[in-house]
Amino acid sequence: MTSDKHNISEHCPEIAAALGELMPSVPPDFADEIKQAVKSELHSEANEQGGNSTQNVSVPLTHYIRIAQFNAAFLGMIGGLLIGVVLGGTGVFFVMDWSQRQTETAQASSNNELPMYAAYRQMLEDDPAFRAMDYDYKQTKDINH
Amino acid sequence: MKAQPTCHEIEEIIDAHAAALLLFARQWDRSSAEDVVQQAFLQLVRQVKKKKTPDNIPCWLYRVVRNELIRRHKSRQSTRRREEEVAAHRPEWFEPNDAARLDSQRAALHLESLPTEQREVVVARIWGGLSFEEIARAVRCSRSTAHRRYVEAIEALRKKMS
Repeated sequence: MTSDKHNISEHCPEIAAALGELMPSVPPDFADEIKQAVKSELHSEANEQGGNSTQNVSVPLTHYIRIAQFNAAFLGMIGGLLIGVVLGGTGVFFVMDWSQRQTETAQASSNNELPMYAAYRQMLEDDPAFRAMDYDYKQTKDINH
Repeated sequence: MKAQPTCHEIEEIIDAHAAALLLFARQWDRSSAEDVVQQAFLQLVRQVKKKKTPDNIPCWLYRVVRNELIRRHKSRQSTRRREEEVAAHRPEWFEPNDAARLDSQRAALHLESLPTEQREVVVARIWGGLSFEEIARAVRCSRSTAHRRYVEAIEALRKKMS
């Protein structure tokens, strides 16, 4: 045994290995005492957390930044839609108004002028007296000019 | 993000590292080593509850134990004599083991003769199973320094034992 103990001292790795064979002296139940203390600590911490209804939660700043970005994008989309609806509606209103006026103007000219001209011609054809009067009128007009 | 260890996993960590941590703590302060180790594990539980579990738990435990021992060592200069008296009745560092190639008392004697900074590296490496990178983080030195201390310590032990 003694010779073995001298032999192992010749090489450092063997000394380390031989030292590793020695087990550290530990008081009885040392590990169990630590485990008990650890369990008590865990239990007390759990009770503290269970008894306290409020708890501080750390939220990273990027979380709020993402919420703000989402809100800005959503509000921008809604605002754009509203402005588009208003401008589009106004444009359609003016176009239709202009179109209506054009139609009314055209109708007015056709309704007021063409029927009068047709009635005048009809009277010329039907009434010889009126035809004579028209003839006199045109003659007088030519003379004056 | 590191997963939070369960109670069972913490118990496994205690089983795996408590003895080596105790031996590590005894390199600094024999009288309060057990208290410091227990406090380190309780501090680990508090970190877990705060969801701030260390990335490397064994390395973190060694660092916490070392920092606490240094703090106590500095704050208890006045009661040093009393501690030395307590230390005179210190328990053995190693369990007697006839099957081992080294005599436990002789090994403890040689180990105790080394400087503290070498002893802590040897204990963290051999019994704690930490890498030199982890030891460097635990004792706040460079990896090369930790390795150098280990080699010097083993070489010194080799000379003493021969």
